[in-house]
Amino acid sequence: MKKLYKNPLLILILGLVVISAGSITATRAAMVYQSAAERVNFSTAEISVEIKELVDNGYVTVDAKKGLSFPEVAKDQNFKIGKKYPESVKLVNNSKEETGYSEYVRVVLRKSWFKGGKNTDLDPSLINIEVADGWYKNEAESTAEQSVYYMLTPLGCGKEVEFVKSISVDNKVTNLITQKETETSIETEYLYSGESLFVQIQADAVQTHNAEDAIYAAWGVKAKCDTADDGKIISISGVNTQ
Amino acid sequence: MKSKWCLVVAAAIMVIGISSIKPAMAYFTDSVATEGMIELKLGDSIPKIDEQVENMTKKVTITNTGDYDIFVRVKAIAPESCVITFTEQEGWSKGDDGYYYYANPLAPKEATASQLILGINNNLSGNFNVIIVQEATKVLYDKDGKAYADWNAVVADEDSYTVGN
Repeated sequence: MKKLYKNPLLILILGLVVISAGSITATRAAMVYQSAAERVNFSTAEISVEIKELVDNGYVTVDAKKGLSFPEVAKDQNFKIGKKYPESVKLVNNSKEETGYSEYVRVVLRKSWFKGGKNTDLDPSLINIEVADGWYKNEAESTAEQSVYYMLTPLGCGKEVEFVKSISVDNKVTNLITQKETETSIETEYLYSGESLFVQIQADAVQTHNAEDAIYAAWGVKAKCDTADDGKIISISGVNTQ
Repeated sequence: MKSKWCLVVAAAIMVIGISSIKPAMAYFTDSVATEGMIELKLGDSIPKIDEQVENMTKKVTITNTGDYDIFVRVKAIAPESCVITFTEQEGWSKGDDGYYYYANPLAPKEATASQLILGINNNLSGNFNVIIVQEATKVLYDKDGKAYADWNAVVADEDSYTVGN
């Protein structure tokens, strides 16, 4: 018996045999016939969030495959710098109706300039995205390129909330140039000509039960709520949201 | 030595086994993202001038020869002895700074719908010139999409500009 303990190879083989036997048993169990009467179906809660964009008087779902189309911008031949284009984007709690769960939602809004790749030399703060009333912007997580907005109350199952209202570009882009000097001339080019403004909207949702822990686990943000479940978020990152 | 080798194999199997276990999610979450892009086109257009002179009157038409919308204005440079008389025409107005302004923006290849008519009265005899200078500026838009011109706009190069300011 002492020899058996001292030989790790035998212990290893024994372990592998136990693991293999366990998996075979599991496979067999799955193959066993069950009648419908004996079967019990368990349904876990499922929460889901959806982004929708207003297109031709109706909202359509947009995601990673079908991006934002900016329908009001498309109506102009060229994008008019300075003009505030109406652009309606909303979030929908499209969780299972049977469970009817509310959810906390937040939006990470990223904007940048793009020309064959992300251009980090240009100023993303010249891209103006007007956010609807009622969203709380967490400055601790926000930069010129990224803003994080929280909805402070749970979004009910089947309910929706508007997020984006309009989009525009600051007229300042028309005053910024770059110069190329040759022996005989100086050529000026607009710094932002040919650049594309890039907007990304990321919607996150998390359960409202055990709210503070759920928010911290899912988003890494310490929030305080006025009740343990389904409450209103009263502070984020130590800052009062009221 | 053999036992050490076995321990290494056992450790490797353990690592593989642990990594194959699916991560457990303690809370229900969901996330969805979407994105979009809009291209900006920026540039200047050269205005082309067309002058007709009849009976000491200059009739001026400006055409946008470029690819971008522009506002145009005109200045008449003449000797002090010369009096320039502006005749009211639709779209044209006389500014306090000596320029004559055309109210509407000109699209690419578009010309002013009406002519700028300037009468020339000279009190002295002899030859003289009346030079017409045309200028253009790009069209800007306010938040409601209404076009306007900023004739005092100053450009800055990238060296004098700091991101975020």
